[in-house]
Amino acid sequence: MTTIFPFGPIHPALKEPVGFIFEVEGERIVKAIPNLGFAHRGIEKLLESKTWFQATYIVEHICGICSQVHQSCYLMGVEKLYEKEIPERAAYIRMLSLELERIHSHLLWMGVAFHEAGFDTPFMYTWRDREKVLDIAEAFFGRRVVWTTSRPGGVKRDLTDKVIKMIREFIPYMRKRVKWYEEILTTDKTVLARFRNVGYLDHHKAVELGAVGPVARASGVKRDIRLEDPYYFYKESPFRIVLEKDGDALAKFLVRVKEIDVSLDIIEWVLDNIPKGPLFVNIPPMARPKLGKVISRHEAPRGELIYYEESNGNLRPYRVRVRTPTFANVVSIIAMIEGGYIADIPIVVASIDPCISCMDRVLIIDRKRKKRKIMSKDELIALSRKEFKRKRIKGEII
Amino acid sequence: MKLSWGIVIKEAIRRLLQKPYTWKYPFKDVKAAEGYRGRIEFDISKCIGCRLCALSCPASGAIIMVRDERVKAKTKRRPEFNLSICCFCETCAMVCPTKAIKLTRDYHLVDYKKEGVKYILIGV
Amino acid sequence: MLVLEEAIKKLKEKFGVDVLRDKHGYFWAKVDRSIIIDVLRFLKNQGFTQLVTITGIDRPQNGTIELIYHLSYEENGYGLLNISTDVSRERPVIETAYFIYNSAYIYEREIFDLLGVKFIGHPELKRVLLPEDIPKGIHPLRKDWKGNIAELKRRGEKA
Repeated sequence: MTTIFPFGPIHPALKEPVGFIFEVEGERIVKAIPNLGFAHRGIEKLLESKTWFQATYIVEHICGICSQVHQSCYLMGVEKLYEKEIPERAAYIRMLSLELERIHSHLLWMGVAFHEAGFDTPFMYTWRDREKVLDIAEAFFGRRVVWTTSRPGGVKRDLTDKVIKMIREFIPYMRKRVKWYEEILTTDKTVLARFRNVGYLDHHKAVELGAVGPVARASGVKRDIRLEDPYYFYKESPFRIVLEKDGDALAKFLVRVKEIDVSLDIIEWVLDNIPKGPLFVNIPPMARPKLGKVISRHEAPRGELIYYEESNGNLRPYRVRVRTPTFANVVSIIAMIEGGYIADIPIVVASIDPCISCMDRVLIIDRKRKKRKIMSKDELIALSRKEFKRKRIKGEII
Repeated sequence: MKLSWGIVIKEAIRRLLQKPYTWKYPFKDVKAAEGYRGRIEFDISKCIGCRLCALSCPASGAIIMVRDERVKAKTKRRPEFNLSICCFCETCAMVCPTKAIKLTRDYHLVDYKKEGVKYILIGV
Repeated sequence: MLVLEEAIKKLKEKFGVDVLRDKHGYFWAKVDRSIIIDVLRFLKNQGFTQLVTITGIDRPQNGTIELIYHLSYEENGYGLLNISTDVSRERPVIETAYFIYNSAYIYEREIFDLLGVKFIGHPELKRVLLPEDIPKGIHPLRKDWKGNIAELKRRGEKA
């Protein structure tokens, strides 16, 4: 006797609107169907009516949290089409901005994930650490979110002494915080109880469904574009891949916390080895590229980002195709949710770090009794906490 | 991490006596950092009417060219900026050949009343 | 790079398909639409385990819609193998790749939504990104669609 209930697009687990339709038997979920498209803005069609130069500043607005990775990936393709190579100093500064963005994105996600499970104090702590990254960005690039670091051919602004001093002070502070977060995640009983064995995805399924990013690395799949297809100077940098074996929400958490550490190593290496030189190569705003098609790939904080660009010699692109990492992980959510409980939905959906935005209500339809109930965000979180208490009393967690 | 009452009490007292981390805007004014991309400032004495700013602006409608006799070049036109469409990306300042456009540190662009918003269209 | 070299050789022997390498290091192949599913099944057994994405491009001057399947492999070398095929613009119908690569579920729904290509055998071919109640036949990513749906509805016209 299954109950069908639609979940979203307004619901508490995500930062952006996504809908699902769940078929439920008792408390267990039997089938899940995704229902997307609430934030579709038609950017692929829009880019066909703007010039190659103007599109640089539109592409960074696709996502507010991972904006620089979109701009850098798009520009890597454009610079191949114009057949120009960017100077070395520009590549180092782009790497610096990409790693800073990874740190800020993972800290934001950690705060939200803690909040979904009911722990509000670590939420405040992670977002306070994130403020330091945003202060560095304001001093260096000019804005706190959507930093425009690059222009076609290089970067716009140079490193100053003040910015270098701020970054050098930030690195040891963040290393201490990373140690503290790792300690909480591996030894604190309440955190372990809530996140362990929730949303399990095994190795074989992760490979088959094409999962990307930390979702795949938490199940032991070795997928990272910085390893497979290194761009800029990642081959010479102290990059190392972070893998976990368990495949549940706790493993996904640990992968992201350890990646902050790797990013700090790369930032320190960049500051020690950055060469002197020009900042950009001149590509005029009204120049036309050659005929051809290119593909460029980057490792965003959420997974693999791929751009396909085709030009037919005109001032405007013929086709730009963007495939973001969360789109590739939608199929994996379905595999992780089926077989789980309703109260675990916020945690499982939040553990893939969806790049979509959030809202507040869930509609539950009970077919047998013909009643409708609307649950607000607070009620769903209270349900999640009640489940935790029930588990503790029954002795399933110690 | 071994949790004990000693750690809890020490942490609680430390946080109680600490200053709040948030800034007290709007009761105290906060200055943006050096190099912040805020309100646009335009110097008409340097403009040559080349319209590169309007051609490379990504937001359609943010910069339009209007006719103005004060421009020293032969093409008597200069840009007019609409700050409600602008996305503050600094592209116009980057491509201007005479550096007539600048982005300042001022970010106070909104008000409670419509008459208070004086920056919707920037002329000169 | 061993998986790729073997695959290129066998593709030429079994299916008569040429794989070209461009100046940036990526590999492209053009395949007829009647054998595309056999080629994909063969490549999956060779070790190309991940379908990264499917790209759809509308080419009105040729009268075709081109579909490119981007495949990547698990070894520690780099490169993507891109297999492209053409379907006609008037009757865009092709067999689904869902039973070979499960991640094609979401990409084929998107291409049906925005370009109008029908995939036979797909378990749930509905619109995914655009709202469900817009009229049939509106596929915005086609080159001859220059309209605005709300405006057209208001004026009572079709796209």
